[in-house]
Amino acid sequence: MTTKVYDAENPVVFLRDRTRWHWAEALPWIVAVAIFFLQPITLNLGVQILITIIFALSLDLILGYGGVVTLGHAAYFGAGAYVTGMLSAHLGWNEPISGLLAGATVAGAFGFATGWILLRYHGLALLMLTLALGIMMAELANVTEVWTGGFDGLSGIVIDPIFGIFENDLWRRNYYWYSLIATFFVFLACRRIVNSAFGRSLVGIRENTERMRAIGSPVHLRLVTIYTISAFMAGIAGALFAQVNAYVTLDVLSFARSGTILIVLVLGGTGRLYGAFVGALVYILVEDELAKEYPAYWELGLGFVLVLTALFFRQGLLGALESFVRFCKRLKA
Amino acid sequence: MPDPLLQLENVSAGYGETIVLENLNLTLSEGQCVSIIGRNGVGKSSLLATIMGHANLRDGSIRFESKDLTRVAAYKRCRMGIGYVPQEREVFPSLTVQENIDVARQSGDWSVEQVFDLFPNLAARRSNRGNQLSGGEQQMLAIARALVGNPKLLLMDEPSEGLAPVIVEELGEIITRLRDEFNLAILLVEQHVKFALAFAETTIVMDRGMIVYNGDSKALRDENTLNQYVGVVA
Repeated sequence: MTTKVYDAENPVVFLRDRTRWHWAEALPWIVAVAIFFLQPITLNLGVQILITIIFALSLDLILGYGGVVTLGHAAYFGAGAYVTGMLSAHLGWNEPISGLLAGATVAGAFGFATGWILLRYHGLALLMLTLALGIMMAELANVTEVWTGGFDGLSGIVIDPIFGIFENDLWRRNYYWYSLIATFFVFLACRRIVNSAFGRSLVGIRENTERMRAIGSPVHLRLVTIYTISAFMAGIAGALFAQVNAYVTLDVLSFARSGTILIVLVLGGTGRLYGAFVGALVYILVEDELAKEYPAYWELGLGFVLVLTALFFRQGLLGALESFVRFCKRLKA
Repeated sequence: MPDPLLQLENVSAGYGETIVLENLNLTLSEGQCVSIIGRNGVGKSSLLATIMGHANLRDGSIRFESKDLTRVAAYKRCRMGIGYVPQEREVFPSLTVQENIDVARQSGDWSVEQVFDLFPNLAARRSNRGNQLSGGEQQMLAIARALVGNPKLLLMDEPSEGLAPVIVEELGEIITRLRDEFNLAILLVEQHVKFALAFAETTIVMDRGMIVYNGDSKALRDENTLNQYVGVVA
């Protein structure tokens, strides 16, 4: 094995070197573009996958890098969805990009306010508090029926064509690109964050919080910062969801949604970013296929897949792939 | 007479309900080095943990550069100029050597290259992860990480623990260089009594959470005197 020695004194050079793009990173984007032209899956399903990727990426920032385990991340997804939906349904704010950013900004602000309190706790207490947050948000949406539509859902969302040209057509041709571009920007931001000194300090916090404090790192402030960014991104996913479906129900705030996104990320592999891609793709495709083949028992089949993953691929599917590649390299050497 | 760098007055501290340190008084001037020795479990590491804010201060006061540290968070103590090298090293296993250092950097005199000059082994392993380093290299990284925080006071908790004699010797030379060349105040907790006594002019002996000797290291070089305070000669 050769050891790479860096001459540069400047750590920025070192960080730049480690953030250099690898050719394999182009693959998911090539596949995503190819899907549009070849359409092996419907674009409607493609949009769902892309929204799930954004949501899973947002969770990966706090769970995979910051080590914050949450059962209430749907609160921010739902905040983004409801704010974008209500702006359109009640105030006639139908412009899609500004609507999306407004939903994400409110979700981010909500993330900051809640994160400031929640992140003072950890372990079981944090788990319970995040769970309670999700339940409270769902109940709040239920009782403020005048604004949210309550149990019946929020209807009347009308989204203008993007740039006044690209409508939300039935086949989702335009919204597939819209979602893909949003996913790309969210991914770029995540990649930039996790490879920065700030991102490395999050890994340090995940691995040893006390040690990070002892070397002068303001742990709470850093966690709140990444939590806010994560909530903003979850808000983007939620806002996209509202715009694509033109309908928002209490389901966007449900515990099931928080649990599902956790499963998606664990399935793909946490702390890797691309784990979100693999997890979302596999989960939604398996769910879709099983639901078609076994309409009554599909959840049982999905549970079986997850049990197998938990037993044999503890680092997620991407982690298993990485281990396999390392094994092959060792054999070759 | 200038204000002391660190001053502990009647400090009692512990973890939860348990009191580990009782009525401790200690003063350290700028650039002064002090060794702390004593048997296992007498509170040496707890003393460093209390200064760092990791143990609960129950009574008394801790002042650093005349500022009261009682309500100062651990990360702020580090930023004020207290560096801490823990007993377990605790390098971040999935971060590289360079990243381990980067996450601890504060503005000040110590540059990354200066640290790598002091630890050439680390320079050659910049891109290796923390969990790929040997025990000695991890210890060097723990010291390097504390130094880039630009401390005025360095708290070192048994840096030689669990290391091979040849590595201990190398580490001893580096710690001595820190003492001689960088005007750093060092509080060194060390089980190797001979090294501890040779390292600092002043030595503190602790027993059952209290300071039982605080004075000239030379006096402890006499085996009988040392036995009287420590009980075991290493």
